[in-house]
Parts: sequence; C-alpha cells; structure tokens
Amino acid sequence: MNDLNLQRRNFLKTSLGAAAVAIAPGLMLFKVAQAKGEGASSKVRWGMLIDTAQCKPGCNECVTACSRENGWVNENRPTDPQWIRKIEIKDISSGRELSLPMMCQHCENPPCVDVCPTNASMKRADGIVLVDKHRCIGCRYCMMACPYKARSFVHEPLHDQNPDVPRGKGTVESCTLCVHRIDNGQQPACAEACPNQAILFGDLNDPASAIAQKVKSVATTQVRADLRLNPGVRYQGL
Amino acid sequence: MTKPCKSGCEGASLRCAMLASSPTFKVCPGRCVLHVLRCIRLADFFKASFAVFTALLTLTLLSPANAMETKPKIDIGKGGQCVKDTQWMRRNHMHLLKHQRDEALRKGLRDPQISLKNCIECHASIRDDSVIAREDSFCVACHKYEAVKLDCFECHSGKRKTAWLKEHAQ
Repeated sequence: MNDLNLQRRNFLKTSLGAAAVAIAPGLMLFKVAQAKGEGASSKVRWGMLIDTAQCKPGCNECVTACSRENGWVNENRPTDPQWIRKIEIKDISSGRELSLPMMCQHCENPPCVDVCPTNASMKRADGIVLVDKHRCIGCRYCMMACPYKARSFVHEPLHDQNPDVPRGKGTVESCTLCVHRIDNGQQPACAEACPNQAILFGDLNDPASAIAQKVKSVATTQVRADLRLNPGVRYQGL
Repeated sequence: MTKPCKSGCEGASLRCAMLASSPTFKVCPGRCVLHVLRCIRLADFFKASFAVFTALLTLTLLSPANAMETKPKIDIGKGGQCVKDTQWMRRNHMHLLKHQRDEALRKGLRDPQISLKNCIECHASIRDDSVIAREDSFCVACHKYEAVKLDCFECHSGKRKTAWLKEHAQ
C-alpha cells in the first residue's frame, strides 16, 4: 500500500513537472509577444475624400508617389500591378470631363473578404482592407469580386522590396492605405504628394476631423453606392 | 564471468577446444562467444568493444577539423541581445516571428522590438547590410545547416532598413 502511494506521488510529481516544462515556453512567448500600443481600433474609420475639382487631368503625382512608396512598377503590361490609377471620365450628354484617382475603396463590407477562401483578404478594425500575404494562396477570387478592379497579382519574383512594404510573387496586393505610414502617425503617400491637396485623408468617425466635417457639409459620393459596400473612399463633385 | 567455459577453453581468450568437436557451432554452451576461429570470454569481448568505442568517440570529439566542419559559421552582424538569450532565440524565434506577424498585420499591434525589421537591423552583416546575401549570412547559415527552407524573404526585404533608405534616397 505504502509502495503504491509512493509510486502515485512520484507519478504526480513527474507529470506536474512535465506539464510545467510544456507550458513554460508558451507563456514566455505570450509575455514577449504582448505588443506595446493599442493596435487598430474600431473607434477609428480611416477614409479619404477626393475632390475631383482639384484633381487635374494629366497629373500623375499620386500614382508616382504610391509607386515609389510601395515599390511597384507599372510598365503598362496587362499583368503589371496598379495599386492606384488615374482615370478620365466624360459625361457624353454634357461633355463634362473629370479626372480622378481610383484605388481600393476600403469598403465596410468588402466583397474581396467575403470570397477569400483562406481568410487572407481581411479588414482591420480601423477599416483598412488588406491582404495577409502569409495566408494568400494566389487564387485571385478577390480580384474577380472587387467591383473597383483595385487588386492586382504579382506574377514575377521580386527583389529589393521596401523593408516596410513586403511584396512577393504569387500573392494578390492592392492599396493598403499606406498602413505602415498610418501606424507611424503619417498620412498615405498619395495624399501627401498631391500638389492640389485633392486627397483629404482622416478619421471618418471623429466628428472633429477635417474629413468628417467636410463629408458632413458638402455633397460627396461613393462609387457604386448601389452595391451598399460603404466604401471609406469618397469623391466630391463626381 | 569466472565460470570456465564448458568447452575447455578455461575462460581465457584462447582457441576454443570445442572447435575441434563441432566447427559449425556458434555459441559456447558456457559463457563464451564463439567466432569461427576464436573463443573469447564474454567479459573480455565487452571490455574490448568498450575500449574500441571509447577510443573512436574520443577521436571524433577531439579532432579539431571535425569540430569546425559540424558547426555553421555565422556572420551575426552587430549582434547583441534585446529579446531573449541566444539559446531561447535559437529554439523559439520562429514562433515569435509567426505570432508577431499576425498581431502586426491583422491587429495593427506593432511591437518594434520583436519585429522582423528590428531583427534585421542588428543581425544584418556589417559588410553587405543583409541577413540573406551570402552563405554565412545570419539567417542563411543556420537554415542551410539545418536544411530548413527560409521563405520569409520571398516577400520581406533582407536588408537593413537604414541601408535600404540610404540606397533609395534619390
């Protein structure tokens, strides 16, 4: 009997020790990985307001700035990346011409996220729609789903990427609203580069922000509002 | 072991007398291991093999050329320790990076100290500002030695950010 008890005690001791050894690295990992800062908050909704009256035809500054910041090159081949592009539109009946930048509209209900089979396409709490390239398998469903044709696919191996903007072959990519700059307290490269201040960037949820006040005071449009995706990018004078 | 071999070799490592009577017999009925030619006491046999094993092990461990070959040569760059000690990092860096990447990308929780960029900042070679450029670069050396595929750098830059910015200043 005594012998049995001893054995049981030893067994318990050993298993407790083993459990501690198994759990310890995980706890340590958790402790180390507890990041500083708040992270993306759902109280914030990042958005842009593009004033088409200020956007000049022929001006390509926003596209150039984006390309430089994020390290993509478009040489007009059909498979080239285009995170942002300038489009010229014309109302046939009135002859009114407009020029405006088109990029990921950072929808509240993004169809690209709905269709993604691996959860790679995702929306951050602060409304930024991103591709988690760690999970992206390159199926391109999201490119098909996007009504704005905002996404592109990397066909060739890449080298010498910007350390802040990882990009790689076999994944889909699109405008990230310069998330690495936003997390750093800066505004997106296109908004900063626009010579006419046609792009206003800010928090749509903050009533005191310039963008929220302008959206409240002037008529603004969401492209394809009929789809009820509630894009974070709005256009004025469309 | 002191019991003499029944076949008459008297327990010494002598020619087994049993050979004469039965040449195909493999094991002495006593405590001998019988080879075709020789009958050796089991204890002697173990002693001899232990001696040979020890000699070989010592040779392997002591040989300086061998020791150099088995360890990867690593260019640790500036080096230093800012997260955890070296042994812990060797064992767990992949879990830390994987955890960090999801936190940073999906939740926006960026911890500059444990970001890949920060690892590279200190561990990139002083010669070429990279953790992947050469055979002995910080990441490549071990991963090559362990034959573990390294695919972080198909998307991520292996260059030190300060160096990259300097290069792309214009």
